[in-house]
Amino acid sequence: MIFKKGFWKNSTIWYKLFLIICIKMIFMFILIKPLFFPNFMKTNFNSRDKKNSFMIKEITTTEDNKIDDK
Amino acid sequence: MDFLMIDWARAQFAMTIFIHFLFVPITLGMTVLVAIMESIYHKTGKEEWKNATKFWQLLLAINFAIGLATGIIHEFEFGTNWSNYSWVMGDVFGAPLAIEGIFAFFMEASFGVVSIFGWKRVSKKFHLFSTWMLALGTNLSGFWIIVANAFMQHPTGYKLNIETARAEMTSFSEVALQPKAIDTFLHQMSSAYLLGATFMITIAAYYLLRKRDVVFAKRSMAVAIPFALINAYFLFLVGDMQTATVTQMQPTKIAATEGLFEGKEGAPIIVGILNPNKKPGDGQTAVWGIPFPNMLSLLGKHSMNAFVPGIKDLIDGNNKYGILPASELMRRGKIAINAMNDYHKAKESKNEALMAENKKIFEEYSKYFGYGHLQKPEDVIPPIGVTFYTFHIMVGLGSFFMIFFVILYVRLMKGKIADGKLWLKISLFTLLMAYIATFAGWGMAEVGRQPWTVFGLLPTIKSATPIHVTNVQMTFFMFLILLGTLTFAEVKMILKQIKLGPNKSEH
Repeated sequence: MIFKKGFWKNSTIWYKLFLIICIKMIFMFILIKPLFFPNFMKTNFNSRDKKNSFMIKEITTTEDNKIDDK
Repeated sequence: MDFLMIDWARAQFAMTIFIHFLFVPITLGMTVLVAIMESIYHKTGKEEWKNATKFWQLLLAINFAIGLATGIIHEFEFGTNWSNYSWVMGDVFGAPLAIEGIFAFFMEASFGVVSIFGWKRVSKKFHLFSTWMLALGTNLSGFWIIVANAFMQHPTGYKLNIETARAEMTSFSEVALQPKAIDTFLHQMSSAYLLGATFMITIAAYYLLRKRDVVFAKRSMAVAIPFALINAYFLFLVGDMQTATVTQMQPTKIAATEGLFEGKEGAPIIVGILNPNKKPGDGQTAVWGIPFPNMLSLLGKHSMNAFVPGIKDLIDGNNKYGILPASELMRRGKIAINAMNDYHKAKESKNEALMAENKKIFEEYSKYFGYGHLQKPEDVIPPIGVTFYTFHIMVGLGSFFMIFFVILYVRLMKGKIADGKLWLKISLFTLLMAYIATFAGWGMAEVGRQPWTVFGLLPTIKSATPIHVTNVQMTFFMFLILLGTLTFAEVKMILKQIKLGPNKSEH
C-alpha cells in the first residue's frame, strides 16, 4: 500500500528509474546470462564426479611438475 | 593455458568492477549522509532540512537505481570466465556472498522503498528508522564483500580438500573477523564516506559559485565538511593499521608498494618516483625522493628498527630473518600438487596405503600449493610500477584531503564558506580527486595481490576457465556498451536534477 500510493503519486523521475531497473534486469537475466554466460561446470559436466575429475586435472597440471631436489 | 584468454578475462573483470564501483561509494556514503540530514530534520522540525534530505535522497536514488545489479555481472563472470577459481573458492565464498545478498535484497530494498516513497505514508520516527536501516543495510552488505576479498588477500579459516580440490571453510569467525577483513572494511567505509561527502561538497560548491540555492548549499556544507574531515583523519588511522597487516600478511605487496628492493632494519618511506634503471639486486631502494627514515619499519612493524623484507629477500630468501627463497616455496608447492595427483591415481588403483601416504604429504605441504604453479621465483613479485604509483597517488590525495578539509572546516566555523572563490573552485574537484584516490587504493590492493587470485593458494593463471578468447572479447565489448550507457544515463539524470536544484527537482 505504501509502495502503491507513494510510487504512483510521485513524479516522472521515479517512473524512469523503475523502467531502467526493469529493462536492466530483463536484459541481464533473460538475455545476457543464458546466452553469453553459461556456467562452465554445469554446462560441460553432468555429475559431481566428472566436475571433480576435471578440476583435479586442471589444478594438478603445471608447466613442469618435476621437483628440484637440490 | 591460453594467456590471451586470461588477459581478456582480467580486463573484463577490471572494466566491469571499475564501472560498478563508480556507484558503490556514493551509495555507501550518501545513505549515511542522508540519514544524518533526516535526523537533523527530525530534531529541528524545519522544512528546509526535509527539503534538503529529499533532494540528496533523489540523487542517491538515481545512483542506486542505475548501479543496482551491476555487481551481479561479476557472478556471471565467475561462472563462465573464472570457473576454476569458483570451484576452488566456492565453499568459502558462498557464505559471505549469500549473506551479502540477503542484506542487499531484503534490508536495502525493504527499507529503501519506505525511505523513498513513504514520506507521507509512515510516521516520522519510522521513516527516520527506515533511512538509518537503509544505511546500515548497504554498509553491512559491503562488509561481506570485503570479507570475501580479504580471504583472497589473506586466506585463513579453511582447509584445502585433497578429494575435491576445494578450499573448505573450517572457521566462519576466522574468515569473517580476521584482521585483514576488519582493517579493509574500516578503510573502505571511511573512504566511501569521504567520497559521499565530496559528492555533496562538489554540488554545494557549484551552487555557491553560481550564487543560487545558497541556504541549501550552506546547510549541505555544514553536514558534509565535518563528515569529510572526520573520515579523512580516520582513513589515516586505519591506513596505518592496514600497513601493519599488509606488511605481516603480504610482504611482497608492501615491498613493491614502497619500491624496497633490499630489506632493511629501520626501513624508510621515500616519497618520490621510481628509478626506472634499477632492478632488484641493484641496491636497497628504487625510489628517488625525500626519505622519511625508519617510517616503514615503524608503520609496518610498529618498531623503529624492525626488519622489513625487500624484493630481493623475498625472491632469494634471507636466512637471518627466516625468509624462505621463492624457489623453495615453489618446490614445496610442487610436492603438494604431485601428492594430490598421486593420491587420485592411487585412488583409481584402489591402493589405500599409497592414498594415505600422499594425503599425509599433501597435508604437510598444502599451504604452499599455489607456489607449485609459478614458473620462476621472480613471479612472486607483483607489478612494481603500478603498485608503487597507485599507492603513492592514494596517499598523496589522502594527505591533501586532511589539510583541505581542515581549511574548509575553519571557513565553515567562521561563517565564510560561501565566500572565497578559490576554495569553492578547488571544492568542485574534490569528488574527482576522491574517485582517483579510491580507484588508486583498490588498484594497489588488487594489482599488489598478483600473481595470485587467492594469495599463496591459487595463482591467476590457474583461476580462469579453459574457454576460447572470442567469447570473452565479445562479452567485454557488450558490457562496455551496456555499462557505459548506464553510466551516461546516470550522469545525465543527476546533472538534470542538479540544474533544476533542490526547489525545482523532481523529489
